[in-house]
Amino acid sequence: MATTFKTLVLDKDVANTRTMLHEAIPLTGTIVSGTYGDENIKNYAHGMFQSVYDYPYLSSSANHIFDLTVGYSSTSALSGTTSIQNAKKINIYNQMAQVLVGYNETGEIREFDRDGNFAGGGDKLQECLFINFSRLLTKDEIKKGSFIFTALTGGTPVAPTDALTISDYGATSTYLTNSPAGEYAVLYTSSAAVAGTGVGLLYYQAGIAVLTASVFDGTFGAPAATYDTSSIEAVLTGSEISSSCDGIRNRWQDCDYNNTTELNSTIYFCRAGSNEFNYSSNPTYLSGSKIRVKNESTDSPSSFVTTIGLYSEDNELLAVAKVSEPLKKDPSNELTLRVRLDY
Amino acid sequence: MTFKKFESKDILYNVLETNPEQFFEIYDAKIYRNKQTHVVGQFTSSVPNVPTGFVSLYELNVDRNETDTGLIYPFVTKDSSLVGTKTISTTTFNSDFLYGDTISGSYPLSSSIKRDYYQLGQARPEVDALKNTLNNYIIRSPHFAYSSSLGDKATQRLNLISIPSILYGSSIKTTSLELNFYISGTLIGTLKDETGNGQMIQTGPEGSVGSGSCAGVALYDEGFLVLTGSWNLDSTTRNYLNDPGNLREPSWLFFGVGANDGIPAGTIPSSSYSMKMSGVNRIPNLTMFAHADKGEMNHSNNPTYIKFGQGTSPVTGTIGYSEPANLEIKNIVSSSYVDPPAEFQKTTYISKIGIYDEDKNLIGIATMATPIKKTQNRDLTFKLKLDI
Repeated sequence: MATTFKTLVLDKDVANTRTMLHEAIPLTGTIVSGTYGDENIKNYAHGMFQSVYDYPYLSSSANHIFDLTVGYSSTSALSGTTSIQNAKKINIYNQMAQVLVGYNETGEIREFDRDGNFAGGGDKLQECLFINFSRLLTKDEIKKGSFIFTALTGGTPVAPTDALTISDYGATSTYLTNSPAGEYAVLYTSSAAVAGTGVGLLYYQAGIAVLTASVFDGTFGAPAATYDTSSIEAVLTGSEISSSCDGIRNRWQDCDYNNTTELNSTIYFCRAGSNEFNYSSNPTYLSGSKIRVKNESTDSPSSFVTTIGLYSEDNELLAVAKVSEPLKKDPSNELTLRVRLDY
Repeated sequence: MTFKKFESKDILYNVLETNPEQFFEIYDAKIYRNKQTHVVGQFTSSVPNVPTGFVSLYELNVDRNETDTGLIYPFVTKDSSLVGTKTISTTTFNSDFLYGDTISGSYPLSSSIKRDYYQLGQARPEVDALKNTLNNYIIRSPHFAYSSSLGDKATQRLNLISIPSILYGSSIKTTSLELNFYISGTLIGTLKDETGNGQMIQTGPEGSVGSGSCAGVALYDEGFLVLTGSWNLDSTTRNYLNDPGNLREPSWLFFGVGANDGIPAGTIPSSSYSMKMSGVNRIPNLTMFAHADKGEMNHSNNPTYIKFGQGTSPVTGTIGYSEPANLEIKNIVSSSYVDPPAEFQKTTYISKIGIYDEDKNLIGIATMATPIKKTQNRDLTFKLKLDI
C-alpha cells in the first residue's frame, strides 16, 4: 500500500499509441476440397450459402473459416424464371450489394462496379461469387495489399489446370472509401493495377471478396457433378447455389492474406527522480527501528522497486505493474519505468 | 434520432462467476485432459496441433502443417511503439531488427500441467521463488511455512505441480482439488482439501497408510501444488526416478510422474494418476434496462413509415428549400374488412437499440431477433447485457 503518490503529467508522462498486429493466413485448396471428403463443408436447408470449416465440422476442434455463395443482379442476362433458385440468387446479390455498395440517390440498390467509380459509370459486376471470410481469420480487417487468390480456371472439373492469380495490387496506397462497409479495393489478375481490368472487389473491414463469375471462363462445377458443367453460366442458371460453391472450391488452389488487429496502448512514463522513492514502508526495511540498508547515519538510503501502482484521482488502486526483477533505487540514480497498458 | 437517457436504476454492474471443471489423467508420460482422446489428423499427428493434455491458446492451425496447408503465424512490424513478440528478448529486439523489419512468432501456443521433482538438497529455484508466497499463507495452516518443524521446503524431497492459469482463470476453487493415485488401476491414495484452507489431506482409501495426514499444500491463486508427503502408499518399489538402480515405493512425492517432467513412456507403466479441479473465472457484466414507455418511440424515420407514392422530394429554389409537410403515415393496423379500414394507430416496430455515450457517439447496437411491435399505449422494457 503506497503512502506517497506521484502525479502523472498528462502531456508529458502519458502517451497513446496504436500498433498493428498481423497474422498470415494460408487457405490452401487441400483444406477447401478433397482432404476431408466434404465433411468440413456445411450446406443448409435454406440453400443460400455454404460454410467451409478447417476440419470436419462435427468435431469441436473445427473452426469456421469462410462462407461461399453466388448471386446475380435482377438485370443480369442469367436472371430468368427458368433459372434454378433464381429468386434466391437475386436476393443474395441484392443483400450483398445493399451492405457493401449501398443505394443511389433515388434509393435503388447499386450494383457492384468494376472500378468502384459510380460517377464514371462503366461496367457492373452482375454475376458474382462471394467469399465471406470469418471474423476469426480476418480479425479487425484484411491487411491491404496482402490478398492473393489463386484459382484454376482451365482444364475440366476432374482435372482443373491453369492457375490464375488474383490480387489487390497497389491497394496499400490506392483503395476506395465510398462503401458503407468500409474500405475496399479492386482485384486484378495482372501483376499490377490496370484500370478497367478488375475482376472483383475486396472489402477489407467486412472481410468479403467479390469475384466476377467471368473469371472462370471454361468448364465449372464439382468433379462428380450430375448437372451441366460446360460453363459457369450453365451452373449459375441450371443448378443450385451449393453447386456453384462446390465449383469454386474445386477451382480453389490457394488463398493467402494477412489480417490486422489494432492494439491500442497507453504508455505511462513513471519517473523516480534522484531524491524520490529511496525509502520504503516495507516492514523488512527496518531492523531494530533502524534502516536496514544503512550502516552509518551518513550512508545513503536505498530501496528496491518491485511494483508500480497506478491510482485514480481518488487514490483508488486501478492497476499494478510488476518488474521482472527488483530495481535498486538510491539518490545517485533516476529511473523512468515505462508502463504499457494494452486494450 | 431522439435519445433517452439511462437513469441510475437502469444500469446494473454484476460479476458472474463461472467454475470451469478440469479433469486430468496422467498415464505413461501422457496427459489426458477432460477425457479428450488423441486424434491423428490428415496432416498432423494430433489434430489440435498440440499434444494431448495441452490447451491450444488460439486454437488455430487445426490439422495443419507447413508443407500441405501452411501454418497461420503472427507477425508485427517493428516501429516506434516498440512492440515485439514475447519470444524476442529486448536485446535481440534492439540489435537484430531494424525499423520496418518483420518480427514473426508462431502458433500454436500451448500450455499444460507440469511436474517438478526435487531430491533431498537439490537446488530448486522454482520453489525458492514461492518462499514469500508460501509464508504469506501460514495464517491458513502451518504446513505452508517454507521452513518449520514440519519440514524445510528448501531442502526436503518435494513434488511441485504447476497449473497454468489458462486452465482455471482467476484462481482454483477451494475444496475442488482432488488427487488420486492408482497402481494397476487400484486406488491407493486420495488427496483432498475438504476444509478449503489449502492443506491437502489424504482422505482415502479408508484405512490406507497416511490417511488423515497432510501431504502438501495448494496455492489456489497461484496455481501450484507443493506435495511433501513421503510415506509409502504401497510396499512395492518401482522406477519413479527413471533410475533402475534407485527404485522407490509410491508416495505423494511421485504423484504425476510423466507429466511433462522428462520421464519417458514405459518407465512406470503400472502407475496412473488423476487430478480434478474447478477454476474460478469472473466475468464482469453490465445490464442496461432500456424503457420505451407509453407514448414514446412511436414515430419512425424509416422511409416505409409513410404511405407509399407520396412525393418526398424537397422543393428547392433561389429563395428557399422546403421538404413536403403533412405526409400521410401508413396505417398498418389490421382490419377484418377491406372497407371500412381499421382505426389509425401510430405503430412502430423496434428492431435495434443504439447505445450512445455522453458525447452522442454510437458505441453499441443491440439487435432484436424479431422486431417488437410498439403502440402508443404499450410499455416495453428491453434488458441489454454486455460482458465486459
